[in-house]
Order: sequence, then structure tokens, then C-alpha cells
Amino acid sequence: MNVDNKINSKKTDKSRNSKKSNKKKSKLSTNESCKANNDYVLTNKKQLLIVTFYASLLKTLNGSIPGSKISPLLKLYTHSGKYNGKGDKLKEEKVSSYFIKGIRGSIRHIAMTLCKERGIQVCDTHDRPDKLQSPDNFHLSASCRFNGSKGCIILSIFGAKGIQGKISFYHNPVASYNYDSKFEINLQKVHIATDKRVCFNSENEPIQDFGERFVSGFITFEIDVSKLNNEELGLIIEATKRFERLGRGYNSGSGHIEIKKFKLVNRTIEYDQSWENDTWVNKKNITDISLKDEVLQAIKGWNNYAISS
Amino acid sequence: MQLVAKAKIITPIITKKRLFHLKGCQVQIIEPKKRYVTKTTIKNPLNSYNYIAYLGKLEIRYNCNKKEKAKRKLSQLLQITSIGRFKSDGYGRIELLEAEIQNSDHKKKIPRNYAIHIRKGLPHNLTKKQQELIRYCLLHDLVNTSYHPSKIYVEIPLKNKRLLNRLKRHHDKTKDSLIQRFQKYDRIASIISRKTKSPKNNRYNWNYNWIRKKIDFETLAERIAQLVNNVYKLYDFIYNNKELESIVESMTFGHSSLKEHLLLCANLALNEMKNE
Repeated sequence: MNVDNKINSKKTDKSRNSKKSNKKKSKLSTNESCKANNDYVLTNKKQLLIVTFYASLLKTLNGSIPGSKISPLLKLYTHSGKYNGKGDKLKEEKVSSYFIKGIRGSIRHIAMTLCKERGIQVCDTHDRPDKLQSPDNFHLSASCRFNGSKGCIILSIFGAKGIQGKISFYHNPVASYNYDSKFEINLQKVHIATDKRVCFNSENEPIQDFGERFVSGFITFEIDVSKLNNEELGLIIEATKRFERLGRGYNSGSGHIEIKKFKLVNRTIEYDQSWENDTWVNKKNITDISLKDEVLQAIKGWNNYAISS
Repeated sequence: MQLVAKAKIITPIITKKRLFHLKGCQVQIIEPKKRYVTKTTIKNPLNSYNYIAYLGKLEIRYNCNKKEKAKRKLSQLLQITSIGRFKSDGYGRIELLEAEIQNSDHKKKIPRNYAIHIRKGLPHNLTKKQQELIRYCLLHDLVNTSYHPSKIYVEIPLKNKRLLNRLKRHHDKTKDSLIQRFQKYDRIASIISRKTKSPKNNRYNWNYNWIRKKIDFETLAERIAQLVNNVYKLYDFIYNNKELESIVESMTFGHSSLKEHLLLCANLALNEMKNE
């Protein structure tokens, strides 16, 4: 699915008629909706996969082992928002936002197992010695590209060291707040809990603090899928359907996930580039158009690719 | 003429520096807040990769002759959504807020706010007392003390035993005026360099080091011991040594290097000597 970034402009300068600028003329195109007085309108188009899931206990921690203090989530900012209190008075609420890690990696592992079930050889990034003992349908990462071939499907999507991938993930940061307050950035409302747990000696002296933090609630993330083929898009749609684990502590009950919503969308962002007294302020319009038929076509393309290879 | 654009950082940018270039523009991170990001592996969970990331605001500057070039550059900048490393994971997301075209005849230099400048070499005409202080600053962590062993695992074989005993007491409470003066610089240097917590379990890990070779600490200690009498050569040796750069100064702040700490102490002392 190839998507173009269009720049609509008006030709007013004489320098554009020179030979050097003739190459740019083929890319530029006039549009009736252009504004007067050398104003530009920029449109960015993307294709996004928007997914919402529910997690009861999520432990996406930022650190190797729990230390003396409660092992932390990746903290971003402290936002201050205002809400209507009693008698329509504006009250202030302060909230700290966090970042959730590990979504890209878990979807990659699901895609690798899908390819293995269909008998396709793909790049391997497993660390556990259990899975390395069965190297059927796995090869070293980026080794498929040395023989002059394009490489396997997973290397083209996710990339490797020195090789750029085509996919990117993003989610709005996560915070726990009580009232309907408005912040500078769109935050997702969740619950954050702390589990205080200390290991004691036989003489009741504390040795180590094993405390951790959990996140629970509905979370949405989006995948930028605009550079992918039909087959690659189908693989990622199938992988997100099977998305069921994230973070640490899966064997002890945390990190279980249920997918609730799932949609493919063409997003267009229009930036108004009108200048007043040599100053510009960001005003943008976002429109989403849902695509249903293309989802089914992508899944068919992936099935045909798996049968043929 | 200069285009000045401002942006906000939504998710942290993973870089080493706060000032860098992007599409012909100078980008600087203002009001920085440091965070650290870890990447763990199941094979080796104790040794994780730690990266420094920044939050705050961005200032983008572009020098040009015409207004239309500045407006076209802005259209290029609006297509950028993320900066830095691990963009596909969601790090480095930015959003432009506003822009302004400023008329200026000459190119403006961006002011660099450094706490202190580390010199390439020592100044000439240092007195003996000043040389003694700087020698103390450059050797203080390479000796076994009651507080911690030497940070290169081997004590320097010094012939001057008076110096050795003096170096071993750099963490203790004494009436020695030189040690009291040094302790002030040691504390200021640690405040400057120890800002983000990234805990480590090894002071030196040759497997994950960029040199990819084991360090011979005994020969390193012998080479340093030969240069103790000449402060100028000792400073040059430490400034150009790459093995000391790979050793970590403190285990809770894994991004600090021994070489930086030693040179910071010496340069803080030199700064005060200028004003005297």
C-alpha cells in the first residue's frame, strides 16, 4: 500500500521556470483549493491499524532487577489539568504519565510463530535456550540477505541491525486521574497500583524489596502500516488477532490481554500554513476513513503467499 | 534571516547529545529532563542495555536568505514525526507548535550552557602547590581505600609512600588542607556527572565494551606510575586514554566514566586558580 505526501502550491516565482526547477515541477501539482498570497497547504496521509485491548495486570517495568525502591515504570511528565468542581469552580489536578514498553517485540514473536506454523523460514531473535534447540524454519537474523535475495518477510517488515524496517508503533501516554480534567496531551485513563513486598530474614530483618507496579485498564495503540504490501499487512493483522501477552510475570498471572476493537483507517492530516506577520501557529484537521474490504484482501494475500512459499 | 521553530516532546528522545543537526537545521533540547530506558534480554537479565533519553522542548533554527526557503523548510519539518533511536517502538515523538522568521544580518551562534569546560592540556607556569593539587585530583580513585577499592582493580605502584598514604585518606575527615580542598571538588564533580540512575552490576564488562578487548590493568597501573612526577604528561595520558573511558565511575549511575570524573575534578580546581 503506497501512500503519497502531497504538496499543493501556486506558481508565482520566475525562478521556477529555470531548468533546475523543472524536475520539481513534475512532483508539484496545482489544486483549486489553494489559498491566495503564496499560502501552502500540506496534507500528510497514513494508513493506520488502531487496536484497543484490556489488561487486568500489566507489568511493563523499566529496569533489570528490582532494587531497594519499588521498581518503576518509565515516567514521562507531571501534567496539571483543570476540572469543574462544586458550584462550577475550576479545580486543579496533578497527574504523572507513563509509557508502556514491549508492544512491538511481542507482536514480532507472534508473527514469527505464525510463519513457523505455515512452514516459512524467517529470521530468529529468540533468546531462550528452549526455543533455540529447535531451529526448524529459523535462521540467524539478516542472514537471508547475504545471498543476493531480498530477504524473508519478517526482515522486510521489522528490519535488523543496519537495515531499516517499514513499521512503527505509537500510543498516547497512560495516567491515572479521577475527574474529567483536560490536559495538554491526550492521556489514556487507567488504574496504577503498587504491590509492596519485602523479603525477610529468619530474624525478621529485611533483605530485599521486591515491590512492583501494575497497570490495568483499556489501552489503545496504533501501527503505521502505510509502507507495507498486501501480504505483509495480512501477516500483521493475523498477528494482532493473536496478541495475548505483554510485559513480565506471565506465568504468575500478569500480562494477559484481550483485544476488544480493531480497525484499519486512512488518516489525512491537513496543516494550515498561513503566515501572519512572519509567524505561524499549528492548526490541523484530522479525518479518518475506515477500510473494511482491504482487511479481507490483505488476509487473502497472506494466505496465498503462505501456500505458494 | 533565521527560521526559529518550537516543538514539544511527547515521548522521550534517545540521544547522547542535546544539540544536533537534522535536515540542515540546528536542533537543541531546552529545559531538559533526563530519563533512562532499559532493554533487557532473557539470556542475560543482569546486564541490560541502558540508554539516556531526554524530555522537554525543542528549538529548531535554520539560516537562509529568502522567506520562501524558510517556508519550504517548515513543510519538510512537518513531515517529521519522531527523532532519535528506536523510533519504531514509539520513542522520540514530537509535535510542532509555532514558528517565526527573524531578520538578522549575521548568523547567530547558539549559546551553549556548559557548567565547565574540560581543557585539552594544562596551563603553563603552575606552582608546585598547584601541581600537587592537580596530581591528587587525577590519582585519587586509583588507590585502595577503606571506603572502596581502586577502580581499576589494581593499586598504582607508587614509590612516594607519603603520597600513597595521603591518597588513601581522601574519603576521611582530616585536618589536611589539601584533602579538604579536594573533597569540595570531588563532591561538585559527582553532582554534575551523576544525574540519571541506570544501575549496573559490573564496573567493567569487556563483552559489551566498544573496544571488544580485555584490558590489562597491571600494565595500565605501571604506565600511570611512571608519569606521576610529570603532571603535564599525566594529564595528557588520561585525556587521550580510551581504556579509562570504558570503566564506570559509580555502579548506580552507569553512564558515568572514570576519565570524565578525574578530569572534572582537575578542571574545577583550575577554574578556582584562575580567579585567585
